[in-house]
Amino acid sequence: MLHKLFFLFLKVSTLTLGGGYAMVPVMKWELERAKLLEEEEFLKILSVAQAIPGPIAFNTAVLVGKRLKGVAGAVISGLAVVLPPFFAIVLVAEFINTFRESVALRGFLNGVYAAVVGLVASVLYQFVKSQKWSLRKTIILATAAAVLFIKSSLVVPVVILLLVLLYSKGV
Amino acid sequence: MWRLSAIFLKVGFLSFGGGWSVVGVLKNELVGNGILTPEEFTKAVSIAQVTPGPVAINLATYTGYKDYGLFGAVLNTLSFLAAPIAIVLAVFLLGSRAKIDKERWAGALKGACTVMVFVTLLSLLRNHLDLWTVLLSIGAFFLTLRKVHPLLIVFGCGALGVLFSL
Repeated sequence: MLHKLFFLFLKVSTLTLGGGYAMVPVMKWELERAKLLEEEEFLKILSVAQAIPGPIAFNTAVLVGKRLKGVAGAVISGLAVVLPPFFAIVLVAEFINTFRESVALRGFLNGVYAAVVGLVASVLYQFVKSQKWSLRKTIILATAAAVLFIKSSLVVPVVILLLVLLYSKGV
Repeated sequence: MWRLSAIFLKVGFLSFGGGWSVVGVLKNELVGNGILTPEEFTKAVSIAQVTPGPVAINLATYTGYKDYGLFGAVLNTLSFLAAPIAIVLAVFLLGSRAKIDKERWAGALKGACTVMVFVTLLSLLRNHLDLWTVLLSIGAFFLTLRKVHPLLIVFGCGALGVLFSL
């Protein structure tokens, strides 16, 4: 069972490019296919994974591991998610270092950067679209955004304040 | 090296709502403290995106590895994951005694994440972008709205980048 969990998450983590949110549906699919977890149970775990800090794919794997196989399951699943990107980054860093003078590589990374800007804009758009905007909420968020626009180094205290404020007011 | 890990440890506690919400915070911390130049940060973000795995972890691993080798990479990755590990542990130990209104918390997170992603977008745009990068970004944005797969967009833009550079 433990090795099954390990290889399942290892596989998902190795084969899914494009960040945590790309991995979650694949995890769900693999877990259902292996008859380890029902959809409803997975969605419950996912909602907890989203409510705590940390990369969503990592949190989901750890919580699924815990649910199925206790602490050992949590450790094994967490490791399985982290190891592939770790070694991938080490390999890529070496590769980039070798070809750092290459004009084509620089061009490629610049192109990817442009795509990232577009993707982040789209993430922002989705966030804005998926919420109800009461007047109070709009004012709070716009104020926070304006403060950070002027002084971006305040981001940590502002975000903490924002979380406390939004939670206590229930907006 | 410890200073770098301390940054990732701190930011780990704020990493809600997918990697992109913390990239802006990370940029402020890393570039603001002179650990990376804006160009290095740009490169690191692109690399994190084209490598499998969550973007924020990749960023932690890469910046650790770049300056301090394998040990730095491990230390940085663990620092970044310390927050979720600590919270999961706390939840195990406290059981369900801690009462949090889940709906409310989810709503608050969404609001805070909106602002954080806004900060990320802003900080990505603050690097001097040339005209074609801006055009490519706008194109990428509209393609995501049309539900084109993000990977296709990322590697497509990368390929265009190669063409432009030659």
